[in-house]
Amino acid sequence: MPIEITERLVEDIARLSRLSLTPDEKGELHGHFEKILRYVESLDTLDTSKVDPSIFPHETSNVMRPDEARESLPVDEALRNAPATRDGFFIVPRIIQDAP
Amino acid sequence: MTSAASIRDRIRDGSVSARRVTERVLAAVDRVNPDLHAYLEIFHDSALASADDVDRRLAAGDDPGPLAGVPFSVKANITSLEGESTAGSKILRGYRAPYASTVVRRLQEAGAILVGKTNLDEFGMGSSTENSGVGPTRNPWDTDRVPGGSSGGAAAAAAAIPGVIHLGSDTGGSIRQPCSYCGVTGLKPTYGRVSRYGLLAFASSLDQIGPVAGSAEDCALALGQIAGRDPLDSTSADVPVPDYLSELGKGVEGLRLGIPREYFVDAIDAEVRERVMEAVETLRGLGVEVEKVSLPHTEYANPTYVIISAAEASSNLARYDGVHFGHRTARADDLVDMYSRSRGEGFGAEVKRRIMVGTFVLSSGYYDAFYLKAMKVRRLIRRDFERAFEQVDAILCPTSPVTAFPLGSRLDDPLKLYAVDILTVPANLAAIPGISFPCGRTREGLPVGAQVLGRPFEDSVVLRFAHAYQTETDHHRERPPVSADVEES
Amino acid sequence: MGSRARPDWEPVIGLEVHVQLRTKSKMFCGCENRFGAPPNSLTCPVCLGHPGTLPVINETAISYAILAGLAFGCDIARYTKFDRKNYYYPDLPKNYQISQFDFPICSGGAVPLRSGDETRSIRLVRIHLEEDAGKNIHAEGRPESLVDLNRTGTPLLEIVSEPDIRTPAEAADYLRTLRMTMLYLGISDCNMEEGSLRCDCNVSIRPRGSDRLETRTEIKNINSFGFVASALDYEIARQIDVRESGGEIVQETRLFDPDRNETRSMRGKEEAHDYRYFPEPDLAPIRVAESQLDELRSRLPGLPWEVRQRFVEVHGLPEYDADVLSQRDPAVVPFFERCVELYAQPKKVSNWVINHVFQEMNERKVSLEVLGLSPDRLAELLGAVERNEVSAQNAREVLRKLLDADRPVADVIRELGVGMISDQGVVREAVQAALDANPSVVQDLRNGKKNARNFLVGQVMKATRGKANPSEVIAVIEELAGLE
Ligand SMILES: [Mg+2]
Ligand SMILES: [Zn+2]
Repeated sequence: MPIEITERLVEDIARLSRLSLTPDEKGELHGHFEKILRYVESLDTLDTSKVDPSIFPHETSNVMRPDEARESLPVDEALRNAPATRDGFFIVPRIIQDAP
Repeated sequence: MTSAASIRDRIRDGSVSARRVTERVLAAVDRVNPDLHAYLEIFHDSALASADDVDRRLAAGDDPGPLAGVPFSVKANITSLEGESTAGSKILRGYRAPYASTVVRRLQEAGAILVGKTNLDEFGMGSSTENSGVGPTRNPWDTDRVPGGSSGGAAAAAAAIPGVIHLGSDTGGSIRQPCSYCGVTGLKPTYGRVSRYGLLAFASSLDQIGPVAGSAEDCALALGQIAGRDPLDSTSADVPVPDYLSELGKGVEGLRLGIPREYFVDAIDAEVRERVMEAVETLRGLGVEVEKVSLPHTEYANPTYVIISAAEASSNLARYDGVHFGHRTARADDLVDMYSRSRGEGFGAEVKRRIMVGTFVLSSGYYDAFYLKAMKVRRLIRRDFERAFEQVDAILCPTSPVTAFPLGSRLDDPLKLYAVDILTVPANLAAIPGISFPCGRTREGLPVGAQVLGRPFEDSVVLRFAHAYQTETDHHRERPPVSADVEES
Repeated sequence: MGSRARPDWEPVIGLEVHVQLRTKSKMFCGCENRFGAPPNSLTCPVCLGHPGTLPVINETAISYAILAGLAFGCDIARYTKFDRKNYYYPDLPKNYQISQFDFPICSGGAVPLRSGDETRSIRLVRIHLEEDAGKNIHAEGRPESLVDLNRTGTPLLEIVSEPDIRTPAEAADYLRTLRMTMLYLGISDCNMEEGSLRCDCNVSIRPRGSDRLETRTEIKNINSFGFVASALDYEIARQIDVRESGGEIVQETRLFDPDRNETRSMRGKEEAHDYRYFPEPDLAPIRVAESQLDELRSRLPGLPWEVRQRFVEVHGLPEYDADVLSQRDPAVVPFFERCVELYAQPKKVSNWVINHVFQEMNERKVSLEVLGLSPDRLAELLGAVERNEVSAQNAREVLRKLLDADRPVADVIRELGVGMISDQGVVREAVQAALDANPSVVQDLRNGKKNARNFLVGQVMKATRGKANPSEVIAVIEELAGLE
């Protein structure tokens, strides 16, 4: 049963994706988004009720490291690529939402 | 003909200095790059300094490393301390990685010389290099055509200037398909064969770094240095690394090669099919046993790939938000607005599409129908290959259904672009190695690539097929109209 | 609103506790796991979420999580994996948290609580491992926030209880037991002030006798043990008021404000969350082998409730002593038991530890370990008191000296000059002097006044600076006063 791709859905997904879209982009994206979803819906015709999902490409497990501390980056190196910093901190617009 | 292997040997025996080779490579790059836009950055100064270092070690009788003086480039989605690591995205303009990728570190430790960084579709998302945030790369065989993608810069550079090793990345064919369009050889190794540490992730369960070069031999040379377990990448496999160069000498006589009927469907261009079948005959002539095999879920591979790659990408690309690195919008009302505008301004259209699709297929209410479903189909596709590989040692098919297409011709519809990936994505889904090598050209003069797929960690087997073919034929020696030589004439 | 008795409503409380693990390095990178460093000085490309970096699991964090699971009797997963929880927040540089979704490392289990003679178990839903986020600091008077990523990537256990808790006091008890267990296991320091233990409470109320689960609220931002009960008291009373005035409880997140001692709705600031969990493709799954479980089981120390029981049943301590000794500091347990091994009077040892050793720890604000008293020395001191080599009172002074520098008890007694007077003649002289100086008191004594005797004993002890044996002094007083 195909999912209806409404403008509202496109906007919700854009918000969840943290993507601002111009009206033109929104229109084009809507069309493309719908096409792509119709395309991938072709998997519906395949019965996978008895198939386990393939979560990892290989069967390896327990890849771990010993608990050893290593040197961190110097603070100025850690902040070097940041668009805004002050006193050793990253700066962002004032946070009004609390952490989820 | 110039090869990385011959450059290595001549520097080692003192017949040419590393500096001289590097100067010639840089000059060749400077000559072709205005036409091709294959390189985003060229490291004249640091490359020459590294070359001098190799020469000094040689003069002092020190071991300069197994790849001493061999020139190489990396795709701009692979980090290096030299230059920027932008993944071809405006969102990372000016981004200088505070660390080098494992592959760059390993090649540099082996004495190889980083000459520059190559163009790509933004974050590896595309099949034409037209989605680069800094302009497309052109195909050296016909500059009105695309070089393929996303490692289009690497493939175009390899075609134009033989003797340089290029590292690309392949998520759904991004090494193999441009190699096919540009007439060069490229290997997507087994998933886990090469460390991904320092590869700007597109789809973590599919991405793999691999070599692009003029021959299977040069690919083997590079793979030998970059393969192997890396403690910084938990998905890198703890499987011994064979001597790929000496493996090449084993030939292909007696190996069984499967031809999957599902890969020779109507969508395949007739000339592509002809050239590929000629390659099959050449290999048969070398003692290869050719059989028909079936990979019944092939038609589902591409939709599966679209879902899984988009889902992982939507999460992998969440970090580009203008807080800790990368582009931040100049005007933002609040935090959420800053995120959305920074990302809206920084990402290109294709990246946004895939993020949207990925967010959707993971979102509550749709996860089972899309993402979980795709992971189940992925298992069916893997099983197809497991069964086929009980019957044969390798599988041969075209790399892409078509040859290099004109710039702009597939931009209006994302599905048209996704369609050129249908023969390459199954290897990524199945985590198996795949190589593309040139097997002749069309009447228009455009290269055609043949693809050989192998069992997991049998990268040496697919290399052997390509190498055996290249010892018997000269297609890999053909030179495009836009080209330059490293060797003095 | 206060916590007056509300007989008609029963609170239903579940806690979600985050505990930072005390590993040397972070969960997925080699940065030091340490509190209090200058901002962003404990970061690297991995925990900064730089493009191209990958996480690698810290094996000690896995062991610690399993130890916690074994302590509470959880089922330890033989197969476990990590998942990504996707949300945007500046203290989470990748904008996804590596956590666990459908295959947590531990499930089930329970935390045993004791009130009076009764043991009540609070069942656990699960314990899973995840990475901590960094810290956002709201700059005063500026339209911006500051981000420090030192804490980003610290290994975190999320311990989720069933809604089995019925009172605010029980919630506090649950938290204390959880904390003490972590301390016994040595896997976390559970310091609420430094944020290494954080607690969210899910609260609803229902008519007593009902077994329905009603709409609940979630209280966040409780950052001190003392606040847990007050936040719950307030919230329960608030919900009762809403229900009794005909209102409905709204499912929401509320913040506890310790200054006003109330919870406040965060309504309007929240958007519906869709975390889009999916398996973390950068990490291979974990398979826990039986041999590894056996090894970890062998490392399990006695747990607080087991120790408490042992103190009562084996050492014959009163419940109160067993509680106090088992809930103070895990180091107390081997200390106490070693002491008892050398000086086989558990109650006397317990009195000394609770009354004197703990007091010294309180005064100096240090742990038993830092206090530096060896159990052998304490046993030696108690032996000296037993043998009348020093009075119980002077022994306290000896104890203080021992804390400054560890030496044989006899040396300290000698140095302080507080050894008991063994010479009968000296005692007799001191008694005679006291009788001579207080003839009226002697008269009272002869008339049978008890206080008179105590007064005279006091005089003698003063004169001998506490070094006389009190029972000997009494005997001599009675003899010399002619009372025999
Ligand atoms: Mg959590
Ligand atoms: Zn770190």
